[in-house]
Amino acid sequence: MGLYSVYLQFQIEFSGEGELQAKVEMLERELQLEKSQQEIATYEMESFKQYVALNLPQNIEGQSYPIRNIASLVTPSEKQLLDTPKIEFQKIKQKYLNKNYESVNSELPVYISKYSDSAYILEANFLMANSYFETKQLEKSLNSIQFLVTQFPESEMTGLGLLLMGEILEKQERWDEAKDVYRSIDKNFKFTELIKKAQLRLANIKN
Amino acid sequence: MKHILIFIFVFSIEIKVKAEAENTMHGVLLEPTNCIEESNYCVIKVYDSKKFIFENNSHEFSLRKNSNLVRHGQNEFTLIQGEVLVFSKKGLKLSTPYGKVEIQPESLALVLKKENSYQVTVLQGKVLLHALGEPQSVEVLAGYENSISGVKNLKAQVEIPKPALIDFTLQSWAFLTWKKKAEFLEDIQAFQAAHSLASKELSVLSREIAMREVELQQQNILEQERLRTLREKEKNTSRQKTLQRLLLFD
Repeated sequence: MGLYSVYLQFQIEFSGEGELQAKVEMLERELQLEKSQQEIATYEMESFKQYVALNLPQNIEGQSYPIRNIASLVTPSEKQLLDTPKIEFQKIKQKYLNKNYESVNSELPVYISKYSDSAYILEANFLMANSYFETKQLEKSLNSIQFLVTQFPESEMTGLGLLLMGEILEKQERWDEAKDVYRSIDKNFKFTELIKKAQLRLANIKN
Repeated sequence: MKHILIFIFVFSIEIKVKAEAENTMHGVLLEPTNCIEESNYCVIKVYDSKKFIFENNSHEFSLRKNSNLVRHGQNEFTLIQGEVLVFSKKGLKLSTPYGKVEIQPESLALVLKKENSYQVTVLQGKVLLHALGEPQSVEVLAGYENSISGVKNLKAQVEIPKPALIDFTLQSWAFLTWKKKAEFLEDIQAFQAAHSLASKELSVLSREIAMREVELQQQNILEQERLRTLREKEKNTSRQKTLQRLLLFD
């Protein structure tokens, strides 16, 4: 009886059934997550309808009421029930921290185009520049840094991106351009640590 | 022989424990993964389990299949879909599109999302309903149920509290409870006492309403009679005036 049980256990372990079952469970989880998001969206729609009904004047019918005014009724303080951009970004960030750069390189561009108005767009571009750098896709990395410079010129993360840019230029033995980048950091940013690093790199090139 | 028996015994225990451990979270979606132990944002959706019971920050919950609950913080929740039995030691707020359901400390309540409303049945303690656009809250005591629904005339609609529908309530409660049979029966007895009191209060209230209605009807009849007499008088007066004018012509 015991041996038969052991045999059954082994059969389950090595038949591949367990792996398939895990896949089915994962797909089921994804399906339920989508359903849950749909339910939450329906709930939010209903809440929005109630909010509008509460704030609209009773004699609204027959009046020309600009859509913008209705939109302005929704206060920014309203809670977002499902912060999908945040959750998705955290997943990608975790992959970056786990050094799964290939996966990050494929997922981040999709994330950036999908959630272009997300609060994480700055950090996403910074991670993308670093991830491309790690996988030696230097031109793509420079493009991401270029985006940071044009869109978020005053951010510390842009400064860090420029440091990375300097490193890339050094690797390509474009010394003069690298020097210009470090000087630019020294001149345009207020963050002490960042300036120190830029000055150190500049000194190393001169030597 | 003895060793084989022990082996079979240990093996069967191990498999059983493993199966049970898997079963506890089977059919429940948590987003972010395993968020239930913390106290921040968490989506809890029960999709393939008859019910799901969990305890969190002095609150106890039992969710029926196909329910979806979102936790925003220690005492802030939203019932997106389904039905929940909730007990709170310190009190909590459950959001709906029509207002908030505030479960008072040491209270037990059943909250059910219907098509266009949320029904709240209070089993122990007290619940406050804060309807949208209504500055004052409505109190629902043990033994009573009430509903909150969509905005009309700039206010979400809250009904008059009425005694809970006993069959429906007990069925749901018995299904969702996490208590042992003896404790549950004690709770039921307390609820029945509160419910019979609620029924009596409702019958008194209904009688009062009926009496007021009768009085109102009688007043209406008297008022109509008075108006009819007045009209008759005016009619007579105007006819006499007309007659007098006709006489003057003659």
